[in-house]
Amino acid sequence: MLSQRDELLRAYLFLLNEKLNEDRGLTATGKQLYQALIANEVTFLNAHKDRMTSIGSIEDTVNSSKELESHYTILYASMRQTIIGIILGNLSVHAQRFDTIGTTAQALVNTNRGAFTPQKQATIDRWLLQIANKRSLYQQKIEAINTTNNQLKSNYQEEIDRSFQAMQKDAGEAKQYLAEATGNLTELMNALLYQD
Amino acid sequence: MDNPIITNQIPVIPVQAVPTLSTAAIIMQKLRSPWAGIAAIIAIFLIGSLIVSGTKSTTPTTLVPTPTPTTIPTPTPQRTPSAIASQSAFQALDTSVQSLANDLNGLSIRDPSLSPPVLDLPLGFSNN
Repeated sequence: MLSQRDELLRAYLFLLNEKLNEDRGLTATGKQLYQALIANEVTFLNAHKDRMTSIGSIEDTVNSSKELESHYTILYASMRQTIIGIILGNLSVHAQRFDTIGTTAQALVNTNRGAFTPQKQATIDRWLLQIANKRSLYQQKIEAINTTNNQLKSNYQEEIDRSFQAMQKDAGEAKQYLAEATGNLTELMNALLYQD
Repeated sequence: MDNPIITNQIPVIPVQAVPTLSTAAIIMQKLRSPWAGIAAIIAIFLIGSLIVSGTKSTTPTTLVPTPTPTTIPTPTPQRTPSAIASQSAFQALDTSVQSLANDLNGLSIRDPSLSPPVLDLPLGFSNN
C-alpha cells in the first residue's frame, strides 16, 4: 500500500510534467522552475520507495508512512505551484497572441492615421488607450499570482488550498481583463472600418 | 197526464260554506310555493342586469386610438467604408481578433483533470 501510494503520486507528477512539456506560454526559466520542483519530489518518492524494501516490522511501516506524511505538505505545495504554472502558461499563450495583434493594429493605425478625420483619430486613440489599460491590469494580476505562487509554502494543506483557490480566482480575473481588452480591440477594428 | 208546473221562481240552491282566507294569508301561501321562489330569483336577476346595463351605458365610451402601421422607412445612415477597410492586412487582423475573442471565451481556468490525488495519509495503526 505504501509503495502504491508513492506510485500514484509519481504518476501524477509525471502527468504535470507532461503538461509542462506541452506548454507553449511559459518562459524557459519558468518551465525549468516547475520541472525542478517535480524532479525533487520524484527523487524523494523514489528514495522513499527504495527504503520500503528494508521494512521488516509494523513499526518500520509506520515510520515509513510518517516520512511521507511529514513531507506531504511540501509535495502538495509543489503540485499546486505547478498547476498554477500551467494555468499561467495557458494565459500567457493568449496574452502573446493578443500582444501580436495589438502591435499590428497599432502599426496599421499609425500608417493610416492621415486617412481619418481628427474626431475619428481621437476615437481611435481612446480605444488604444483603453486597450493598453486593460492589458496593464492583466499584467498586474499575473505578477501578483506569480509572487504568491513562488512563496507558496505552509505546514497545513488547507492553507495551501486556500492560497491556491485565491490564485485561481485571480487567474480568472486576469483572463477577464484579457477578454475585455480583446473586446476593445474589436471595437477599434469597427472604428477603423468606417471613414466617419 | 200531469202537466209540469212552471213557476217563475228560481230554485234556491243551497250554497256550501267556503272557508274564507284573508288577503295577506293568500299572498303568504303563494309566496311559499317553489315557483314563487324561482320567479323572485329571475326577477332579481333581471332587475340587477338592467341596473348594470344602465350604469354601463351612462359611462362615456372612450375611443382608444389603434396604431396603424406606417409604411415610412426609417432612414439608415449611409456609412462610408474607410480606405483601410479593403486592405488585406486589415481583414486578416479582423479575423485574428475574432479568433482570439472566441478562444478566450472558451478558455477555462479550472482544469479538473489536474486535481491532485486524494490520499489518506495516516495509516490507521493503533500506535500511529
